[in-house]
Amino acid sequence: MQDVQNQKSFQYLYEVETLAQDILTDKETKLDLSNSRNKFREAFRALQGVEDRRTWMQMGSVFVERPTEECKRILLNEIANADKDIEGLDKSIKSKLHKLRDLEHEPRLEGFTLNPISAAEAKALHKAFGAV
Amino acid sequence: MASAAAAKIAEVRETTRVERIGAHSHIRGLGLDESLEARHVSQGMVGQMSARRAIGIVLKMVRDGRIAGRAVLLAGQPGTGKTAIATALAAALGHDTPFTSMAGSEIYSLEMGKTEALTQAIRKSIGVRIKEESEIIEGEVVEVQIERPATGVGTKVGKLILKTTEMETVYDLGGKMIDSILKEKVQSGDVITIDKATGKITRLGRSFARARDYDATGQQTRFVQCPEGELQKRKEVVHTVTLHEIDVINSRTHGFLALFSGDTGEIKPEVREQINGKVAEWREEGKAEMIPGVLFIDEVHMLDIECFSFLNRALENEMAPIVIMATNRGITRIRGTNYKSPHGIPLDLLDRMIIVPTSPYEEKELREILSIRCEEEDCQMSDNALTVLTRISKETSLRYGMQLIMTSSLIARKRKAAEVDVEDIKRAYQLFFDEGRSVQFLKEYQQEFMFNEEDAIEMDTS
Repeated sequence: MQDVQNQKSFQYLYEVETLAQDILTDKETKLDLSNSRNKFREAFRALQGVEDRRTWMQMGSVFVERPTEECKRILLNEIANADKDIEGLDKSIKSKLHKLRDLEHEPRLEGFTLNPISAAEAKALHKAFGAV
Repeated sequence: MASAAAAKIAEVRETTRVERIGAHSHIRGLGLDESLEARHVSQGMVGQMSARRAIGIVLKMVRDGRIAGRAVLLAGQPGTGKTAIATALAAALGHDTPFTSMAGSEIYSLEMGKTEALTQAIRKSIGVRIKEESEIIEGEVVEVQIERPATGVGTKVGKLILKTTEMETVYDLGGKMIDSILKEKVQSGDVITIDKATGKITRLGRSFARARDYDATGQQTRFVQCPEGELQKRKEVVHTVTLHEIDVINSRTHGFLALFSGDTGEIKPEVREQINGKVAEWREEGKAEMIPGVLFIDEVHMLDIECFSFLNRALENEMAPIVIMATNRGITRIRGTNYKSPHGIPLDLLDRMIIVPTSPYEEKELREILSIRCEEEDCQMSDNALTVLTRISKETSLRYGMQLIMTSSLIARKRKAAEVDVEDIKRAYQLFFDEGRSVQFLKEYQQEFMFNEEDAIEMDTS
């Protein structure tokens, strides 16, 4: 058994599998974050139509009553946090994917590390080349 | 059951490859191993080991993309695989690296100047990689609710419920979005994408879950799977365009029309300068990567002295591609002058180039190539016939030998034989003259031809 763990192929498989599992976990987390971001947004929209000065909010398993304005602020804050976390996850998934492709001896995905061109420039290109 | 499957396979074969067979269509790459050593027979390439190794190094140079503006000359007798090596390089570079192939005489056109044609060819060989990013919302419509005010005027309000296999959420809609939803006739069960930046709604099709077996359904209805993952996605697309393509777009107001009509004409230098500036700006902002590609000029001795001096200058540019030229000429007149020079190329340009010679094929290699061609042209040939054909190719030329493959295979098919035999080759050899016998024939029967002048037959090859 000791022998197997030191074998090169085992080491290789271990590395590939860990990295791939990491990517899957990140994707899962991103999904959860995205889901909660949607829920926060829905809540925020609902509060915008409310006239009451104070609102009940469920935080974990506790209900608290706070002024509506403060509730809105909390929600906006949460949405911004989720945005930031998703952005970070996107980046980490990307770098991990590059690493995984390297490990699996697949060709590098070129060009995905570039900064995007502006929307106006993209529109001009699409106009010239048709919908790509 | 088995016969049905067989019929299906035959069908697939028929539809997938309708490509025509060209002289170099059997080449799939340079046939090098990881250490850039040439394998004797690989990827359709045979022999020419040293030339292939040399081009392998050029390939590495292009892939790394660090060195621009180098010139390589492939020099060798006719039929020694110069174009084959260039084709192999193009295949090995892959689709992402621009590869432009032109013949030297292509630059002489009435529509544009020689230097313009060369500039376009050079700019066609330089790629720019850019990335486009867009945030989209993609999902299956669960429900659309649109409330119109009772009076008929005023703002409309609405709700859109979207779902993927993982999540579901409600979006409040503003007046503009409601208009585009009404315009696209979005209803529950459609799969749509919304571009966040522009608010453009696109219908991808109907969800499979809503597919019903009605007798009367529109033909255009396309059924798609309910999307997976998040509703809000970031889409990144990487495009590779050549500098010439960007030039063309910007030199015409209706750029895309010019692209497809093929009539691009000359492009103003100001436009080129603007493009260069823009691309330099993109590079500085990390928005674009340059991909120096390869420009291949076959029959380079057909260029004249002006083109050569232009090339000299163009190679100095930092955005120049790697230029590969091929020629089968020895010491000959430089076109446009009375001076003679090796390969018909001025010495100063020759000095800038690295020269890769190709040498005539050995008999064993000829046999290898002919058998590869037989396979490519779907022709069964017996061993003896292949030996005879190799002999013929050795004595006449490889090209003539390759011509005999198809002709003798047709002769064999006429006598309903499964494979080509020696007699078919003999018959084809009698029917079709090679260059040597044709010359001999002319010499013998010169008197009987028209307009025949003794000793005035010297072809001007410059």
